[in-house]
Amino acid sequence: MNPQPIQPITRRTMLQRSAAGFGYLALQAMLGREQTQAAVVNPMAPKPPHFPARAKRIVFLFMKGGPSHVDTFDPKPLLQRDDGKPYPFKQPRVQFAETGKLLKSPWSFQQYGQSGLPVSELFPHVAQHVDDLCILRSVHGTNPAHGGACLKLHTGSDTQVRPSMGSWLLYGLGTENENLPGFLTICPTLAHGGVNNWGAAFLPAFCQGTPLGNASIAADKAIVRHIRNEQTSSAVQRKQLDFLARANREHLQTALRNGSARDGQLRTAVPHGAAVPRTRCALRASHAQRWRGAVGPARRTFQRPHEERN
Amino acid sequence: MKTFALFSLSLACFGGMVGATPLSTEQTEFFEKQVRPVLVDRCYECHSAEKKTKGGLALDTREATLKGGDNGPVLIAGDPEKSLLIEAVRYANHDMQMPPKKRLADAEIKALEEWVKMGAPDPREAAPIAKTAKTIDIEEGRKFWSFQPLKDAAPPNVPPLASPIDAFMGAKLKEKGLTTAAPAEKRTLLRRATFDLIGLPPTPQEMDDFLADTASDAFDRVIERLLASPQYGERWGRHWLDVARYADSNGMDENIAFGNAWRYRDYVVRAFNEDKPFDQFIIEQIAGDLLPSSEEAITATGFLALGARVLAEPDVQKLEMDIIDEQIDTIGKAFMGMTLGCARCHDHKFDPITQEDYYALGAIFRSTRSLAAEKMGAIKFWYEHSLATPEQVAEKKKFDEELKAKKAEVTKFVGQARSAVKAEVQKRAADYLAAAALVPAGATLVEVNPVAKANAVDADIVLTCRKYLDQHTDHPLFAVWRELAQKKDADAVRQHYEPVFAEALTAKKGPAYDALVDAKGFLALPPKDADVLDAGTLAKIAAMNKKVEDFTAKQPDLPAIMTVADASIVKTLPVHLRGSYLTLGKPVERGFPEVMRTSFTKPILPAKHSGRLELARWIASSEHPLTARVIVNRVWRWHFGQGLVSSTDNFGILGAKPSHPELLDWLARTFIESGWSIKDLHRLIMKSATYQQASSGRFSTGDKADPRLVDPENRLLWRANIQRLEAEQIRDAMLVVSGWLDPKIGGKTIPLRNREFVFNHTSKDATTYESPRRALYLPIIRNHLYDMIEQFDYPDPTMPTGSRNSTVIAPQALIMMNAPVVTESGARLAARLADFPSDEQRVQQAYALLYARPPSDCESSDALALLHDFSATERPERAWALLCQTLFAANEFIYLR
Repeated sequence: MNPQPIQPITRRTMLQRSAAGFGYLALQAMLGREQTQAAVVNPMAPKPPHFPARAKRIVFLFMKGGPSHVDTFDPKPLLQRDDGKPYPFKQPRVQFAETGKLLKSPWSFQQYGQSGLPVSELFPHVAQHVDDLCILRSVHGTNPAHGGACLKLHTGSDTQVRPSMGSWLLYGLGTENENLPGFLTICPTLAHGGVNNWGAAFLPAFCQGTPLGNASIAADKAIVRHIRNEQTSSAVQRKQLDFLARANREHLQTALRNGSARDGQLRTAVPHGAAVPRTRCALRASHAQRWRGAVGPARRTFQRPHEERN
Repeated sequence: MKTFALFSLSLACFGGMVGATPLSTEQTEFFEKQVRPVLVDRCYECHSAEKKTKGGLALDTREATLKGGDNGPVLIAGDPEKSLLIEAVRYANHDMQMPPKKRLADAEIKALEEWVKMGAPDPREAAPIAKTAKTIDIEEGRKFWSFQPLKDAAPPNVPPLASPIDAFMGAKLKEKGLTTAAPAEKRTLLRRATFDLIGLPPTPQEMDDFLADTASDAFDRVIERLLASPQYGERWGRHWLDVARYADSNGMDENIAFGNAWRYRDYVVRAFNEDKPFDQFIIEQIAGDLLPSSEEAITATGFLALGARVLAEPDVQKLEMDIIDEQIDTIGKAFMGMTLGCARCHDHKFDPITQEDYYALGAIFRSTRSLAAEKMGAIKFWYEHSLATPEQVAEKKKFDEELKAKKAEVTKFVGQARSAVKAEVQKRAADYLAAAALVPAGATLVEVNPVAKANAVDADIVLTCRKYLDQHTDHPLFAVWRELAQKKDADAVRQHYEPVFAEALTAKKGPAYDALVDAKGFLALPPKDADVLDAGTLAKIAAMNKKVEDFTAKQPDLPAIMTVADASIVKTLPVHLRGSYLTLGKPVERGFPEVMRTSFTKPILPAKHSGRLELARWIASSEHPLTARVIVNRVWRWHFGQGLVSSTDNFGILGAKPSHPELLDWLARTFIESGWSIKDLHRLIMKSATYQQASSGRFSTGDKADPRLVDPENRLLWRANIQRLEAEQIRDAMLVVSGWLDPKIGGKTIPLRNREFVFNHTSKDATTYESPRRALYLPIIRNHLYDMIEQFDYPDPTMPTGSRNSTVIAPQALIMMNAPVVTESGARLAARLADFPSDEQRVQQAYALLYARPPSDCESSDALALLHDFSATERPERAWALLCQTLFAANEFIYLR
């Protein structure tokens, strides 16, 4: 085989090819739509929020197995004082592991910025930006096990399969970007609830988070699956797609045989319409990286090499 | 329950007194000044007739306050210590803290305590505003269509030889001025029927035979051939596995292999192949363990064990109720098309299912054992029925002993290695103290490293030593060290301690000796072997561990069946208010949902059994209004792509109404009459003109009734639906036409030991999907499905699905263009075609295999032109492989007309 470098494909090209080549996959959907004459409403179209929003976008970093609040942003003077003493209150009803004596944080805290928010010595650099942070200390959990706690945090329930926070946001607010998934999750963990942590549950399927890679690979290696073909050059794929466009057009005609003059209209409508409905997942890796680039330098991984199993 | 009774009793004693006695001025004043403001400001928002009555509690009138809420009375007049109200405001009970957002001020709490102590004098006279809670009217509920008994509708004037189905369908079409489409072409019909019944395309030979067979019953014989094929069970069993939310792993919080789930999967395939009467099939899945002992039936009850559960849930009582919930919800949806799970926390919001109905079923499942005695750390295991013979058990015991011995060997080796290091360190104890004197208090490893290096001692141990000395500032043995360390006089430290420790090691007693050997003392070794032992020893340990691992991997699992069994029988289960076992309401006896009851009396359940068998028989009875309707509707859906009731899993108020109610009831009756035979139902449906019609309807532009406008969704079936193949069909079709498919039936296919982690916290999933077996046998890993089947709308295996989606999304195209399974199938098909002498014949054969038709001249030359194009850059085999892959990616391959 003649090794040819894979040409970088722009998103525009990708969409065009989807239109010419694979948009015809939408055969069934198109047939149904033409017949219902129904206006197609994009369920992900932006919807006005109930209250005016100041935030433009949300980047939610969730670090399973991160350090405790007591060691980072939430100093506990009484805990410091009573280190080594028994619990001053009733033992929790449900215990994950045997509860021992009180244990103080081994890290010292210092106040920073104009706000004077205390930050532990673990985060000397974050501490420099403390006036830009809003630290919420009033959150509490009810499930001490990793899996249950992860599910509860993301979905509000550790009992039943429920939509995740991102799914609700997408459902309620929509997305301004028509061609990318409205809810992306980069290198999520598959353990501790996995898909259920970014799942749509009973909300419509489009609210489901789209994962890019998973925690077993570095974030900068995460791409949309099957976006590349290592064996076939894009020139050859171009030929495949052209052939498919013809074959699919003929198949469509056969499927509509016995119909009326309106079939002609339908056929001409297809190439235009076919591009629109389902390109949303055709996200290119480079684009995803650019997207991340806007957030900050992509770290290889947020995970520690060894996490304890609970 | 005890507390509930206690509260009721107390109310009886004190209740009357409080209301009746006229209040003194002081009492009234106390209430108005100290109590009422607190109640108004801090309680009424959630507990008043005018706003909300959360937990069934209102505090804005005397009567309501005395009556209490769902948990019973909230105050015991005169006894604050026993009053829930006081317990709640004190924030003493973690699960009931009121007001939930902010604790009352101490003075306010004290006032309330005082008030209750006084006997809760309450001058409020106003009668509670009557607020009638919405109650469910069962009699009214029964009038809904799906709870009505099956009607005995005769099909409208059936012409001789015609199918009654066509008569029902024809009557509806006629009302709208429509007709059934022309019969489909024979090629289209055979491709449709073959994919439909066995999930694979017809072979060119089968097509030729069918085309050549001009007898009037040619298609009937095709149906019989397909129904008799063992591959029928693999296709239709898969439909049922969607409903049974089948999976090979747990998938909730921890993902653990269901190493024995395959037995249930194979049972389902067998049941469909043998045409097991569907009522029997239901009974075995719900209560097979209670039937006269049979391995087959016990395996069937795996249905109840397959659900996704939070296995590491530390609250075992909650876990048990969650499992029961999953079982009730699944049974409701799978057999009755009812969302029973909605009634866990409150009466069903839409359907006439009360919370009592839910807990009546709950009591049956509370009497059922779903968890095993064994567990692994925080992870509880599901119950299994062992199939092991005494020999296998003995062998396993022997194996476990050997494993234990091997592990002990490693432990011993590590222990010895560490002891050797420890002895060495003890000999140099003075050197360590000297080094520790040279580093500052609270030093880090970075600071210690150069000192350790200069003194030829281990840095980790120096660090531990220094920490120990910092923390034990009154240890007399180290008084001298403390003095000298201030001056950082290492030599003096060494001089002082060398003789002390030398002597101690000879004498083997005394305080210095004790300090030397103390495992947590100043010479404690770091816990990690890597920080203590040298590289050579570590490598040896790793090799030994590897041997133990390999040995463990060799051990076969003892054969067992995932299933359930009866537990100790609970005759009643209290209603769980808001779904929590911490707030119990009135006890409910075991029973079945009232609205579906067909008998005059409530069911009488056996005292010695859970009642699951009776439940199963009731669901599978011919009188049950839902069961037969739900399954015939699903079978219809699986044939036509749309159910008569389009919401296949919801026959409740929020579900869809049947498009052909008479046909649905007629089908259900006929199905029951046939002995609940699914295969007879296939025959009935597939022999109808409705099934055999073309996908292109009969209409022309001038029609008064253009069916595309009259019935755009094709609910009346004026043409056959064009259907996209399901995920497994696409994958299996590629494998079978390329000669890659291994037709072996059944057996364990998940490459993991029972209860093994599918992936740990690294999210590395080692599961592979390269097996050439049918897709049915590929592992179904909850939380991490095989992407090929996931993208083609494989359903969420955590909940029952009777009707898969059929979406068109870009990742499907990416798979067909780039996924290895497609490119590899293309290459294999190309190799298979190489047997044919000419390029034209190869193209002919490819079209016959993939599309069940010959190519037109135009298509043939187009394909050859593409081949020629590819050949400019590719080797011939590769060019053919690319052509084959392109043909797989075309719509015609993945759509059925």
